[in-house]
Amino acid sequence: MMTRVKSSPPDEGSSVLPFPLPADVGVVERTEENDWLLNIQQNADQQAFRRLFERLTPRIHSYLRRAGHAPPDIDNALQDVWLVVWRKAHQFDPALASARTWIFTLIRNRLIDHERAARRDKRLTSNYADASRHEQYYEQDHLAQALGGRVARLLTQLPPEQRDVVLQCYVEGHSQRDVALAQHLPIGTIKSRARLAFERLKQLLKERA
Amino acid sequence: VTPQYHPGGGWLMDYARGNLSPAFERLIGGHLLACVQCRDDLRLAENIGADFMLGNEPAVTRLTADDIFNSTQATPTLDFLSTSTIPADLDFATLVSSYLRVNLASLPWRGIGDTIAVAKLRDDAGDRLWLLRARPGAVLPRHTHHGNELTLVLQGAYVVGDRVFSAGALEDADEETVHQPIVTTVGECLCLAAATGPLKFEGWIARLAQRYLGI
Repeated sequence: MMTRVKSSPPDEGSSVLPFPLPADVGVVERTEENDWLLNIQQNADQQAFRRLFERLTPRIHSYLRRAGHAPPDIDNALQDVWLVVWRKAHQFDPALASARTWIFTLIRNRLIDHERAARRDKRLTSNYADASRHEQYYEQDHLAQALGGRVARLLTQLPPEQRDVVLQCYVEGHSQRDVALAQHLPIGTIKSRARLAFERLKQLLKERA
Repeated sequence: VTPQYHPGGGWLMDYARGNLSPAFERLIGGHLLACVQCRDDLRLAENIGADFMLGNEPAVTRLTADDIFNSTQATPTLDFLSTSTIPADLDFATLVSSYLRVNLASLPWRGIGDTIAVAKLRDDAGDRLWLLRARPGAVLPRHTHHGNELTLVLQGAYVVGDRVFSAGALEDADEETVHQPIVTTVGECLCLAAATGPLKFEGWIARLAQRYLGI
């Protein structure tokens, strides 16, 4: 059972959050991870692999649990992905992606068919709309869980309806169309919210870079 | 090619996260082959995804690094449809065909006269992907949609209202859009289209033709 952050005093400048924002440790972490992966790539360094594995695995596991995957499926997927990292590290190109982003895409590719099948089943059972409706609690819960990431922090600067589309996409794995169906809104409305959210995130990330 | 019309950020986030059905995923992938700007945006969308993936509190797992070192399992293939290697010497239609692994000449085209021909590539639970070729100056039937419809121009160009869609451009239409594409007179127009459910044509002749073409 994961602990949830309960209501502490609101952080200044982020009125939507009932808890303070932790410091962004992402830059240091990402640099370390890239170094480890390059070491695996160039020297087949087992120690570097252990570090990377131990840093990322528990968090990826937690992320996939939240996206609705069963633990045995998660273990199988992680096993496959880490095998690729260990044996095909030469495919990693640091000019194109950070270590964690490369691993994110491997996870996505491994689970894409599985998630598609699950999404179809979910659509067939029509209580879908109720399960994914917009709730403040739901949103704060997801934000609280994702706060280690700098993007979740930036989300606090977006209007609620734009924030919701981003969370639905990345945390729940719901497409724009899924969101439109669940919220009984025209698909065009969701597409424009998502487009604005992405443009705003892009701008905020540029300002910080 | 430098496309004039692009998918919005929501499409790229869905593509990055793996939320799209095969039809829409391949259509966006086709546009990415042509568009440097959207490839950059996709990278950003993937970075955002990685951030979400790793922002979670750690859970307990049974898997260890030694399980990986000691595994005798064959290495899985985890390649997505790859957009990373782009041979510059191919024209866009050939490039997208090789990305889709189809041979344009040997597809089962169904046509009406020599005006328009359609080849269906796939249908996954109602999300369809097809190729469409239309002769210069062809006027396509006015229609709307049950959900999203994305069209990617591979060759030639067509006009909708005051917008011209040429090679690499992506038109994003949906149930609120009624449109009637008109192919320009420059040459044959070849498009890749993805849509949810059948199109909704106006007029009985068009609906009859639709049943024959299977769109």
